[in-house]
Amino acid sequence: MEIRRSTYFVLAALLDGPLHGYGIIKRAAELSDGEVRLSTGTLFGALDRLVDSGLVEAGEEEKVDGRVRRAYTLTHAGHAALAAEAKSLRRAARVVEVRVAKEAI
Amino acid sequence: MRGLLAFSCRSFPGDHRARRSDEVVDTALLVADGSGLRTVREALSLVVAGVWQRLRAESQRSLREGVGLLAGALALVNLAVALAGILFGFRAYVGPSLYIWKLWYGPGSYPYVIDPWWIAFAVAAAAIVFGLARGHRGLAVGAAIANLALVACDARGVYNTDAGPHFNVFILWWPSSYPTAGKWLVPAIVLAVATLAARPRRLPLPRLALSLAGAGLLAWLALPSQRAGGAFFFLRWPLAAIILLGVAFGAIAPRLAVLACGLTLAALPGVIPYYLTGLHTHPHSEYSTIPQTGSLDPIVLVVVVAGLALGPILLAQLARRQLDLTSVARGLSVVAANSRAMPSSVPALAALTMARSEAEAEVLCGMLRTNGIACAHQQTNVGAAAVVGSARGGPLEIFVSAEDMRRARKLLVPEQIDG
Repeated sequence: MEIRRSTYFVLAALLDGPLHGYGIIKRAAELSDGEVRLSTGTLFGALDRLVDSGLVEAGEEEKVDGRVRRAYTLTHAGHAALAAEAKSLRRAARVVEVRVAKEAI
Repeated sequence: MRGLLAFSCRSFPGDHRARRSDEVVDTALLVADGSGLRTVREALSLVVAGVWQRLRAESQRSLREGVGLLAGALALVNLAVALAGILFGFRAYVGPSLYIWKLWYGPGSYPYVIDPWWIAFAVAAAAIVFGLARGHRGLAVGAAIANLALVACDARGVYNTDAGPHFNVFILWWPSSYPTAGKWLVPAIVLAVATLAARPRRLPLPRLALSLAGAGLLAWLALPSQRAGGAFFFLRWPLAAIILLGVAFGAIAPRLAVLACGLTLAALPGVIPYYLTGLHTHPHSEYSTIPQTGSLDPIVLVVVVAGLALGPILLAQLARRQLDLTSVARGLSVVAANSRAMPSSVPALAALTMARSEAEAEVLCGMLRTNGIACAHQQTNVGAAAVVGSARGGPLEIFVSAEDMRRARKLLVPEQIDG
């Protein structure tokens, strides 16, 4: 399963617990040190795909301070997919790091 | 700002808007934080996301829905031709009374407008449209068969009037124009087959009104075709546009591919000869600027042959993708693996974990089997849509027997943590 960088950080933002749309955008920016700045379109495009594929669960719509929002939760499958992606990224990074280290020596 | 963002949400499909629009707009307002520039940026991002959402929804539609679309499009064209025939009858009948008409053309003749064949054809054509638009499959199929029978009778000359076959109403002035009943027989056959295969659903009234307006426009366009010497004159540009759309987006929108292929097939006898032949002037001086059929154009012939060859290939690819034969084969192999790996004495299976891909599931199962634990994996029904640009894939669930669960977890957990 190909997980794009923005989707990866959307999933990562939900690791600590359910968040609503704006919360995910802020958390993703924090986790990526500001590198991933999700627009609303990108966020909801990713969330739609993730909800359809069962990696994220959407809660009921609620109104807080006059604003409509919905909490999103990482599912077991989402957790597994994110862990697998992290493992894959770590392997990919190791391939490069080992070679770079050898060259340095 | 809210208005701009709400307007941007219109790019999303209707059902998506109904469910999510308020939430999306409120989130975008928070992100924009009162800045006009950021609001515009968010609005643009919503438009892009909405278009992608529509494309994604389109790619998940079945080929059968494409057949429904084809039936609808052909039914509208069929109705337009029927309307055009009656309209032309009105135009042809310029006498002050039927009595004078009969004096002029003979006692056995009558204006086209009161010809029962045209009325029957128009009723059948309208019934197909109504049946398809209101979800009455029986009515649509019955009317499509009646429509085919009427056109076939006309093509075979079963019901001839003094003026010849009824479709020759367009050839009142000279006999090489469109449409003849023979040319319309193939569209009628394609329409009947498509109507039979379609699953009509009730259309909302605004969409039905829009469709009927389209039929009216086609009928209006059909009238000048009597002056064009080559076949489906009025349908050239709509057909060219649809076929172009089908070729451009057919791979991601199966409905358009089916529509383009079906219309090409239906239009073959009428349109293709027109394109295959060069433009020639009519020998009669009055019609000297009117294109007439002539010699074969080799370049057009190559394009047409290539298009006809590529159409079935595209459809076959789409059909294979939608049937997803590989997943069926994979399912069978899972059953076979279960029967091999799982002894019949195993009382119950329990889900151990999820794997990211089939390869990963095989690795994990291999490790478990090496340690004497029977294992099987099965694709969940939740993964397919998560794969960008692919119709397959997604997480797989790994099963072991309940008694082996504890041992399997001990083996698996270090593997997952350590990687």
